[in-house]
Amino acid sequence: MEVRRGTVQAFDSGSYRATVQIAGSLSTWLGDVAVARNIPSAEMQVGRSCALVFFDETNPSDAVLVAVYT
Amino acid sequence: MFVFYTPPGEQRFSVSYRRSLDYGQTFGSPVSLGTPASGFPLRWLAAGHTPDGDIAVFAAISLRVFCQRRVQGTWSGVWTDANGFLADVSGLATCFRGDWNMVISGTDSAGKKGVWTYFLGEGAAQTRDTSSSLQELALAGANSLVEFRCPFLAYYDVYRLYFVERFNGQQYYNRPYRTQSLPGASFQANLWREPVPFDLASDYGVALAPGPTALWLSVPDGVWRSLAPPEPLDLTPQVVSLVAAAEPARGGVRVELDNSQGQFATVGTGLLREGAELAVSPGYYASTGPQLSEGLAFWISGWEQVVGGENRLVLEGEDGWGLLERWRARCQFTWKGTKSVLELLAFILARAGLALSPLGPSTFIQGHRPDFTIHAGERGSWLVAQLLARVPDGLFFRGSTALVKELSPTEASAYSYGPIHPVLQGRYAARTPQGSWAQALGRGVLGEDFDWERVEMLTSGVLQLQDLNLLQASQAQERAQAQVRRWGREQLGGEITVPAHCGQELYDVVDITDPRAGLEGSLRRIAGLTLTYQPRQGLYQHRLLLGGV
Repeated sequence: MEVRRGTVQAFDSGSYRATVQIAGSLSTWLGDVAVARNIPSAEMQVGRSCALVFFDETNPSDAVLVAVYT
Repeated sequence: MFVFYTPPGEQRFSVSYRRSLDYGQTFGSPVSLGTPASGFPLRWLAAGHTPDGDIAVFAAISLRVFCQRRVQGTWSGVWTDANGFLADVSGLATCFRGDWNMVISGTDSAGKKGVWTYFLGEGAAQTRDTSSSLQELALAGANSLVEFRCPFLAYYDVYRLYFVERFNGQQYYNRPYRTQSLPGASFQANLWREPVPFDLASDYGVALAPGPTALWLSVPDGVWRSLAPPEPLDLTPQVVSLVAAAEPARGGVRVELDNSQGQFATVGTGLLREGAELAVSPGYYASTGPQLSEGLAFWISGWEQVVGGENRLVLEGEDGWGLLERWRARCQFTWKGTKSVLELLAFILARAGLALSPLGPSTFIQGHRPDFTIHAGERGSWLVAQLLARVPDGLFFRGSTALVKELSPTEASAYSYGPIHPVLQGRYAARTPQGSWAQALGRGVLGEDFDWERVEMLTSGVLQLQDLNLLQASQAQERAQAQVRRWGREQLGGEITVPAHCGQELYDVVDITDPRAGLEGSLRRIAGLTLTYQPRQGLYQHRLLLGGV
């Protein structure tokens, strides 16, 4: 399991999934990342920092955005 | 010589050319080739020629690319569709090699910016006048501050590609990047080394022109010419000692050279320099003459000059695993089930400059298409190890090519040690493996495999592998089985020292007969090998690490 820092680039409140710029990647984002449902939709603002847990480091579908902060 | 351009004074709708018959000293009158798409201004032009002198000129408008050909001296007069479907085009390049190999940069319909390759058929790999789909080479997110433009493509020794990467952040840069295909790789394979920056700021990139003896680069205020590739330097007569090793996930070489004449005093400036390839090709004088194997390839990573007494130059090198260790991802790469594990390995290896050849891969490594991501900063060696941990295959290097083969427990012996090929020293070990029962837990599926003999001995509990990329029970079964096979290889160990066997490779299965240890054609898999060559001592040996099959 790995924790990584990122920046929210987009959020879909319907699917509750986000596009995140993982720290270090200037050009490409990680899309379709599950967002913890305990995070209010209004807090998922573009540009805010966030924390992601990768249960499987190399599987983008096995990760969840667990915190958003400024 | 042809020069293609959009005539001044118009709104860049049409294409014209002027021709020179004296290498550019004078040009003929302008000739119009017409308008590719009425009402759409041209964004970019590219042109190339076949070895027969036929020409194709490509004209990109904002949404697509058109082509007009000149065959046997006659222009078709018709602009045909040549793919390149993008929302906006910021550059276009072509190079003919059987088909028209294309590179295009711009923005796709989703707003992503990138550099893509594709090819327009001329009848070689692609049917004439049909085109392949676009394959990404570099990509930037729609909202990122990075964009790409002005690609230039040429084939010299391999495909060489330059493009401009622009970063529009506070630390703005506008910098050409260069990359190249792997030796022998087709353009269609779309396997490129990691693009690296070129020491130049340029809005319009670097134009490439291959000549018979050099590749030329040019910008409005500068020209570069490549150096001729040097002749290989045979170091064999100067070798005092050589030790070359290959193991799973690592390998290296240390060569001690006689420098008594000072012939290597300039090490670091000529052929013997950091990054130069060091090929170790072990051989024998056989009844049919000198025979040698391709052996191993290393890249010089350091050296020592020993002076006073016996002057020596000691070269140290690393193998493909070293190159993978040095490659770090620049950005996030993500595939959602679009590439097999084998294709993912090929991508990572190519970024480090290494080719991949499937020697005898499992059906699983070819068919399993996981969701996979590479985070910026991750090392190639770690990523390759992660992928290999999920499949029943092993990877080793032959020369500068990585080979992948299934490590099957039913693989037959490829060679016999003892008594004809003598075992000089042996150490044969057995150990309890780390596990005997594996469960692979996927997305709603379970796969299990057992080493029943050991399960009944109660020597270990279950190992659970959680992998949401396993979507089918058969995939979970494969994953569990690969783990139990891995334990099976761990339960036998040891090593033998034998006279060198030039063709011995990592992961080969051999049989060993050594009555001193009660072995009679016992199968082992080569888990590591070290070649030692000390000609002055008459030493030419292999130390082979052993494992189970």
